[in-house]
Amino acid sequence: MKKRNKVLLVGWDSADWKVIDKLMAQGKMPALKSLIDSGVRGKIATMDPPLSPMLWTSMATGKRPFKHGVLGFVEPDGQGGIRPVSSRYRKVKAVWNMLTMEGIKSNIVGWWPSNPVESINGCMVSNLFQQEKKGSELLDVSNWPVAEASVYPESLIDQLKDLRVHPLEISLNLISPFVPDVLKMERQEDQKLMILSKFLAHATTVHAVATELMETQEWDFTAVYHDALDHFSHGYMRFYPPRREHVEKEDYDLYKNVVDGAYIFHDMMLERLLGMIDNDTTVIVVSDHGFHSDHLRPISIPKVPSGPAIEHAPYGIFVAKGPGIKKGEQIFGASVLDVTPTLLAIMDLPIGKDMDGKPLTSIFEGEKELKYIESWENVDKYGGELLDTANNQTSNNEAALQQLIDLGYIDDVAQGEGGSDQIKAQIKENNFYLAKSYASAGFNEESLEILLEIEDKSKPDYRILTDIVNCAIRTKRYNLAKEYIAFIRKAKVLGENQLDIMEAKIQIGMNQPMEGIQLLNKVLKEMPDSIDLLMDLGRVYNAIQKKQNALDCFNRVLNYDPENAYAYYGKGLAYLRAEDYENAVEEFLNAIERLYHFPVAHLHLGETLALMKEYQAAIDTLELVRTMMPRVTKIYRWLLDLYEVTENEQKTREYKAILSKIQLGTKTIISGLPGEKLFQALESLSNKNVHIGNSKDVFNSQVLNVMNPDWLSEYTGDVIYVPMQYFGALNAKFEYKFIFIKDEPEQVMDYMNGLMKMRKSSFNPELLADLLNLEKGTMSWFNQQPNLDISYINDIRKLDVFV
Amino acid sequence: MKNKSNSKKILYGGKPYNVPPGGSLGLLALGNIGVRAWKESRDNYLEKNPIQREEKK
Amino acid sequence: MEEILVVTGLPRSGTSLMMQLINRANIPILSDGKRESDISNPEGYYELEAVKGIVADNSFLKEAPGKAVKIVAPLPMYLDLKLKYKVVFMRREMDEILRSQEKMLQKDQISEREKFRTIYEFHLKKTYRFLLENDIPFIDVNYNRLMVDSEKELEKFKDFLNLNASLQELLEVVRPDLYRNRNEK
Repeated sequence: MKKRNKVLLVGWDSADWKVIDKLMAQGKMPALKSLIDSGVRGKIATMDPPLSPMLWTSMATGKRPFKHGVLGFVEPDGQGGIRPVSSRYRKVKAVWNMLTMEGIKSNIVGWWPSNPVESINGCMVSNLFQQEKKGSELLDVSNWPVAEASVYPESLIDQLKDLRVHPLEISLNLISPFVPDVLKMERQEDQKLMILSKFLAHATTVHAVATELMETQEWDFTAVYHDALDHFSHGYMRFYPPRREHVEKEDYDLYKNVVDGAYIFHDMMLERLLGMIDNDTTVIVVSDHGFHSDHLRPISIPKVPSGPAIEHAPYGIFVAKGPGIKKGEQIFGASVLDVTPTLLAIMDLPIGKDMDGKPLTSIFEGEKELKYIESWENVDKYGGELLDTANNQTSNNEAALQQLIDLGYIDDVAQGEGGSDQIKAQIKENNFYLAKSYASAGFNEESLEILLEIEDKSKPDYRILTDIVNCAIRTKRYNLAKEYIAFIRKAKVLGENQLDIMEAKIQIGMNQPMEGIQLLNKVLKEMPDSIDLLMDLGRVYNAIQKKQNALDCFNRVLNYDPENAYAYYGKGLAYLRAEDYENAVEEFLNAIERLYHFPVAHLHLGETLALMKEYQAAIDTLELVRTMMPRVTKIYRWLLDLYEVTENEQKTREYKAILSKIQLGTKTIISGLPGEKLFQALESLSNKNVHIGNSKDVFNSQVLNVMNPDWLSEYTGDVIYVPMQYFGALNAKFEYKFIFIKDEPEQVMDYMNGLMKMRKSSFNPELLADLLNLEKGTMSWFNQQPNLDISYINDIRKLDVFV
Repeated sequence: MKNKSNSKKILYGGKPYNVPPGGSLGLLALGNIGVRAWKESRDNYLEKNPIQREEKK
Repeated sequence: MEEILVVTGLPRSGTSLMMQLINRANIPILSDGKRESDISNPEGYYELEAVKGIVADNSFLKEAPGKAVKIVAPLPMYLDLKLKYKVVFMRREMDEILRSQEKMLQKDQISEREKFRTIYEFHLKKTYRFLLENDIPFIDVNYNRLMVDSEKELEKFKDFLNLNASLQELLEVVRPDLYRNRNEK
């Protein structure tokens, strides 16, 4: 049988490219650099909430938190109390269980959470092994028993226990590379130094165990997880250069090297690991999120549970090197959910279809053959079990029941005697994370249900209330959103400005963009440098095709944050809509230069190039986009168009075949200037039993929530009425057929005047100008779309063709 | 098999490395062998210098 | 009848009225009669104390085959799936439910009306999903229609349960004076 290639997975909590790239440029992270040079690198997207135990469990299962069950930092212990998060709540198989089922030997070291350890095929040392505390009691070096259920098999305890390093064993010698002036310090027991010794000790223990197991045990897969970088970053990133005004100079000088030192130390540990493996071993280095190290560092930390997570940045690192993996390339679109599916693909094992992640196929040279199974959960093989089965907690829905208790439906039996306020608060906190996890997967209904369950008006929590409003807006429950905004105003837990922004979103959602814009502008006067607000406003202006206003917003963003790729992208869109292609190209390039993983920016760049008849450049760009967003069919249609124009027959055939294979959903859109003709057209269609999606009433058209990227999916019907000003928001997922009712702007003006109870013949120059503008904008949009099927209807009697 | 790695000599530039009792980051980064070598050197040192041990506490 | 007849629906949606109808149709009711009737519900509640403990203990259902029991939505989710059921699902205009509840609780809940509307929507959805996923036969009886088009709605209900009771007997139960709070907008 062919020898199985080994896989080494190294987890560095919080590792961030910004710090790493600086250090690599100075030659200070040679081990990681060697991997990158002979492998692939990329950003890996984190998930909301960016909390490590949830993320690393997603990493090890390929599933989102609401599926895997690990929520937050603590969990109910089933006896009315709480305890640190453990592996007991994990409801699904982790990669080490899958490998055990397949007879593959693993070493799992330090994973968070992994206590109690599991009886897997191989060895497992949990995240409690390096802990010097039992509960809140600090254990002494000389009396430091190995944590319960932290080592499997237990026979390894003797071999491993002396590899533990206690924080009190960390000498100043070891601290000085991080804090060079430590010997000059007056108070060497400074709390900050304690953090340093603690996590240096932890990292050392984890690394010593990993190296020991790799050296003395047979293994096919080793996974080692370090939380130290995250703790170092939370403790010391505020002292990272450049110094900001609010940071004391003295502290800055002392601690400015700590973060760099921590990264360098991790690279040194990596170097040792790389020295222990052969060339056929695949190595993956990954983090769960990044960490702000520049001007995006927050000045203060909110005083709420998990408040420090505000320092986390949305992208972590992903590096892979090994046989069959590309060399020296960037990869895009990785998520923490993809790690397990990718590991399975590397090991030629099937990926569970119930996993939320996808295998990162772009890391492989050539086509990788993938295998799938429905689920690993039903595989009838031994995958290992928890070392202690006591306290096995199965019911995880305490908060879900709370509402029924509050409503008087059921008795408060589940809480038992020990249900103290603190425990209830913790359970509530975990359910808040569960709600966030649902929302971040787009399950807004599920999220809202939980949020309403945990919301308690006697203890208003702005985080929960804010999320309720946002979920309500996303699920179009505008009255619910308004009710909560009224409460938040009364309870004064959020600033007026934030409330106004929420109300603006409601207005925009309710198809009153002008009112929304007015409100946003009002807030803008008070928060003139709010980047988020300017971006929101710019997007709304772009959606209603107000080029100059949109440009103003994005330019203001760029004044504050010259590296903001999204602002450049917004400018590009504004120019594109106004048919100013030269400027559009420049702005899209500006965006891409700052954020390469920005597929839609590449897409619009490609489109703009095509419109400029730069066919080859457009093809090159769009071929790249295709690899970034393989599921967006619009790109294939563009490419087909471009290959046809450039008379590339082979490619034309290829894309025709691809397009015929992809199930393209086609939506038929009816639109036109909102005059009598359009009104009659809609009426005559529905009289002929054509079901019209959206409202058939042109003037009180139902709420079109175009800020939701998937808004069109909500409308079914043979024909969907979409007002012209929303064409820009039509999603590239579908193919469109347009029925466009041609009407004279003057007549439409007359008609609208009539509706507005004005004299029918009165001339309304502003309205007419708006209508002309709208028509012009629509025609230019039509011209910019690939392979568009438009039927212009002058005489509505000809509509019969569509019946 | 147990403590097998303990007997390994740590080389630095091809020569045996004199392990400082206070340890070094380089030693910690070596993992199992580094930690064992450091602890051994430290314990030897503390045995010869018992006063230091008192002070440390 | 070997099934357990479950009457469900949101609170204030006519579940008690349905229990009276069932009582009149001579189907035995699983009840301990602990809760006294009160002013806002003169015909009394047909409520079983054990239902409130259903999450932790649904063993009382073992006594229920052939009988009717009222279990408000979404608690049917905790039914013992080893037993067989037929479900009558009471529905009523949501705004009426909300107003009626606000009145019963005698506090001004206007500021929480949307919250409760949403919660109740979820409760309905969950209950329907549970019934559908577990293939439990159910019928919707609309309280508002029961009031204005009583005969038709009662026929539907009679068919579903194969009742022998005369339509007249049942109509007597659906007395207009029970249609409380309706015109007090």
